[in-house]
Amino acid sequence: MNNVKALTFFSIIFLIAALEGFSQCDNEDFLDKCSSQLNEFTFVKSFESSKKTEFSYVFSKDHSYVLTVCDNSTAKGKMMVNLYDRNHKLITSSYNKASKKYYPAISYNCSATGVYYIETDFSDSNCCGVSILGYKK
Amino acid sequence: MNYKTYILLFSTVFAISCGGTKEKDTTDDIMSEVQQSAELAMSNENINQVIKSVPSPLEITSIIKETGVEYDKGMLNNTSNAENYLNTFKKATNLGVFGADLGYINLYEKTYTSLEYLSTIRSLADDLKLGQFFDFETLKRLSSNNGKLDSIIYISTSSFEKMNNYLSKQKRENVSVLMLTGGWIESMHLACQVALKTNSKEMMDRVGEQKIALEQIVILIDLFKNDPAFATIIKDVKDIEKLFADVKIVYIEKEPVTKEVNGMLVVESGTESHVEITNEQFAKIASTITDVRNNLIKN
Repeated sequence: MNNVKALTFFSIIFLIAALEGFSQCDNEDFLDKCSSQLNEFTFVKSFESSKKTEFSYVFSKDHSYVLTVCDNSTAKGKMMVNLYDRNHKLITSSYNKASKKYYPAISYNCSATGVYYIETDFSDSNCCGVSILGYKK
Repeated sequence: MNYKTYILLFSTVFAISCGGTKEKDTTDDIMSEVQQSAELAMSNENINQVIKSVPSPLEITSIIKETGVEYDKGMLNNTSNAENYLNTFKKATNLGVFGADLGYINLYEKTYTSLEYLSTIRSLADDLKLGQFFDFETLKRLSSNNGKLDSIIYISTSSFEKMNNYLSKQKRENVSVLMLTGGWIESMHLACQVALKTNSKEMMDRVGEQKIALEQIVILIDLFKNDPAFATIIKDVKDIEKLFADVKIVYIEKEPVTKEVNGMLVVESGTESHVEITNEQFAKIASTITDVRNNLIKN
């Protein structure tokens, strides 16, 4: 009987943990909340991750882009976004190593059409987040 | 309840909890029409990332509005065509086509037409078992009440993104690739028509720049080269690719400048790009795009 109680207890704990994991960054409410940071920019794509991941997108000349950084605020870790050009050369990062400062968004005024690389990374493994790309002409 | 019953209960609850949030698993009988290739040369995760890299049709259509050219419904695919799209290939490619048209309509704030296209998009999405991702009621309410344009665009664009994410999880990237290709061809058709009407050098250059997006699309459709349903669209896209071969994009490298403005990082891109496309090259591209697009939308 004690085994059954223990199994039930761990089942409930596991279920809560699983649901919590999904509800943190993999749901519409989280995306909607993060997209509200776009302000005057128009939503283009969202890049969701829970580990170091590289995405890409073709940026167009004479468009301005914003990449928002929206992490799960209940976790200890922080999300950072690194932007690279078509040659994989770092343009900027939302984390300034020197000042240890995290920025909530990167704005990029593009004058060269090409494939750009958007890398998401986290300071802690138990973190997730979404970076939203918006544009304006 | 005995021990085994608890294990069964636990397994069932775990399976449900790991199955996603609001998404419904559906029996995919439509896959019999367009077969997913047994072995793809790229992982599902990577395919989804290349799909994400292709520019939104909305970005191309927003340039059209910037030229000041008047709204022209005649350039769009007629919604009455939709009832004649009977197979998955036609439904998926034209879902992309109508999605690009919807972006154009929304930018010009044509509410009545927007509702007409939304209805058609919902119908095609339902047929492809993707209707659950299209918040038609909210969009209809926003459009009917002259709602905030940003909200309408956000819900429309994110709905297509949710469809693609779902298709990736379901290993139905072939449907995503068809939607994407249809949307890209329609936005190119609109851009070319406007460039021809206005003789705008900027529009021609923007069409030329699409060489980069086209490279991504070629990577994607090539993954399905063993699928007979893709034969025609692969040929069509490769014909377009050949015409882009002589279009050149030249870069002048300069260092970017970064500064902090109101707590946000603002980067001025140093590098500049220039497109080299002649009137003759553009005319051939526009003509071929129109032919391919007209074949895509015909019944």
